[in-house]
Amino acid sequence: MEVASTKTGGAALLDWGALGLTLGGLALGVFIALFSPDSVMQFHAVIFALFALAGTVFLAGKAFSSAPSQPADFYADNVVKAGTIATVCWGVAGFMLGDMIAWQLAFPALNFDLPWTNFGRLRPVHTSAVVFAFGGNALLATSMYVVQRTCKAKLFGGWLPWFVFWGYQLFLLMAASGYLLGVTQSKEYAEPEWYVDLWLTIVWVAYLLVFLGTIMKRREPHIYVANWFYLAFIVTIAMLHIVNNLAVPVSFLGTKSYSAFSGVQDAMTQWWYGHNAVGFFLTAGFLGMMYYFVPKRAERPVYSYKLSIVHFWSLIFLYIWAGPHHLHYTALPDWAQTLGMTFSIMLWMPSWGGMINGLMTLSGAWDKLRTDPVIRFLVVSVAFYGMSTFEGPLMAIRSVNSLSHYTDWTVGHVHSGALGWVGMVSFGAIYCLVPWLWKRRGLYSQRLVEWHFWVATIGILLYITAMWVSGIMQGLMWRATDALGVLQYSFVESVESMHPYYVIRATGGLLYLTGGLIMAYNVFRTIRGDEPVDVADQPRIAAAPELRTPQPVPAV
Amino acid sequence: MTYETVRSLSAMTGLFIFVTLFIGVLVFVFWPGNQKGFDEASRIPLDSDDFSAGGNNGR
Repeated sequence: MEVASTKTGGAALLDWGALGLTLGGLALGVFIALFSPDSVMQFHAVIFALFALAGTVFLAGKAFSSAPSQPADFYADNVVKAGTIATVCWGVAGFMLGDMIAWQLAFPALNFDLPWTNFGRLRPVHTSAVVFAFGGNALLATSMYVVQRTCKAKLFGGWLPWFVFWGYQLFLLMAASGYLLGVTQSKEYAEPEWYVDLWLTIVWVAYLLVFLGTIMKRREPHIYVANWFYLAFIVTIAMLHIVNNLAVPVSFLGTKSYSAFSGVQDAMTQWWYGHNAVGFFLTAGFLGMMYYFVPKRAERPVYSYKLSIVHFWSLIFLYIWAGPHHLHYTALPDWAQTLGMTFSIMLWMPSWGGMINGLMTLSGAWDKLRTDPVIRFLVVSVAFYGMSTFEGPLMAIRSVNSLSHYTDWTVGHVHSGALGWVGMVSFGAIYCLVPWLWKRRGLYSQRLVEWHFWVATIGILLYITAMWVSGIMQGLMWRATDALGVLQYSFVESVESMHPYYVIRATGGLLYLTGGLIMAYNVFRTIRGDEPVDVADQPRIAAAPELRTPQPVPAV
Repeated sequence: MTYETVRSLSAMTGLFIFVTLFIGVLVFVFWPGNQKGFDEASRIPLDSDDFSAGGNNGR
């Protein structure tokens, strides 16, 4: 099976080819920077050229180096380390931006009357920073970690995983700086313009190659269920991204483009994309994380492998149809609205199947919830997953949607999923990964993990309860009529009534951000190699595999 | 064919395909011979760590 020792000639050729590509990228960046009439395009071309230059230097160093290659580690973990650090940094940045705009809603003067700091521009920076930068890096790092362990194979592609990592950071930088400078194609969660979309497509295909290549050379007969979820996430996001971003640029040297779709077709394509960004990016990908880290941390196999298979196939076949529930009472045909609503309700089943599977993995070991705050993060994330996937189908029912749509209830729902499920499961995975990757005996401080857990949990509760009250109040105020059928409240009266809830929400966000900062400090101290202060309290599994005390194998 | 006919035909086709697929998944999952493979697969995360440390770990 192994052909690694005989492919040096081919690998060298690939390195030279890649060097040609990075040089080409450098030339393209310089060309656009010099000749584009569009200042944002020029700025992005400069960033692009700098990344291409760094890639050129790296590859040239490899190609001209005469030193024999190091006896390689069994697993390629440096890129996972980079992804873990990027997750923590982007997470803190994304939470901070979110809390900034939350305070802006409570006190509008905080937008400072500047174009770059107004809500309209900062909001997509926040959503992209938490979904694509924090969540995306968490998925990149964990998927590359998990696929190697569960396939017992090194990551495929040599430097290709590094291209995926840095290419993705370049995408994030161009997207976020573009929004600040006013460049957006105004599609929610798909705001980057055409050239940034093209770049992400290239990076994503490379990611798919790395992931599939690793699965192909696995030494394990089975493909573990976590890899099915990660693969569904990668493949589906590629499809969604390409279709929703089909657009015609006005010129090849300018940022502006026009969508290939218009009217209700545009709306449907956008929400087919938008809801599946939730379904496949924020759900399927993070379920892959759950199916590895919950059993691993609990040191027991997943509750039911059969259920995980039913969960997987039902989830992916149902999610893709749920998008129309974003377009109730619009020009979309009634039957399509009903279809979206029905599929959303059916999603209750696989979602709760997955939740039960995650929670019941702890069956017989519930005491770990008390003693190990990392597993508490993982398990509470699954509980939030169950809660928000109960709320979602409820809100997709057309008559409920008539009350909830366009209100803060939607915002609260999204955040119970994002802060509770995506955030908490990622924190759990980060707390697992850092000592394992950097070969430490444990985290620097488990007490700080406890603090992070409670501060973040209270923050989420403040956030979502405030938004429930505010959202339902908004919905009721907007539809209230007097005896003559005249609307009872003006819009601005509903805005005024929301103020106290906006303050509560922003306070909750501040707590969540504080939790993120506590995590960043703890991760920093662990990576630096500081001796853990409470290693005796930490479970055996907290230590890196090499440093773990052996565990008697339980009878199967 | 009217729009309404096409719509209802595609709805029925979709219903048929998805129900069939779902039954197929259930048959696969509950097929007695597959149990052993599922048991092995479910233990993959638990025994994959020591692989790098201890050579090929007997596989």
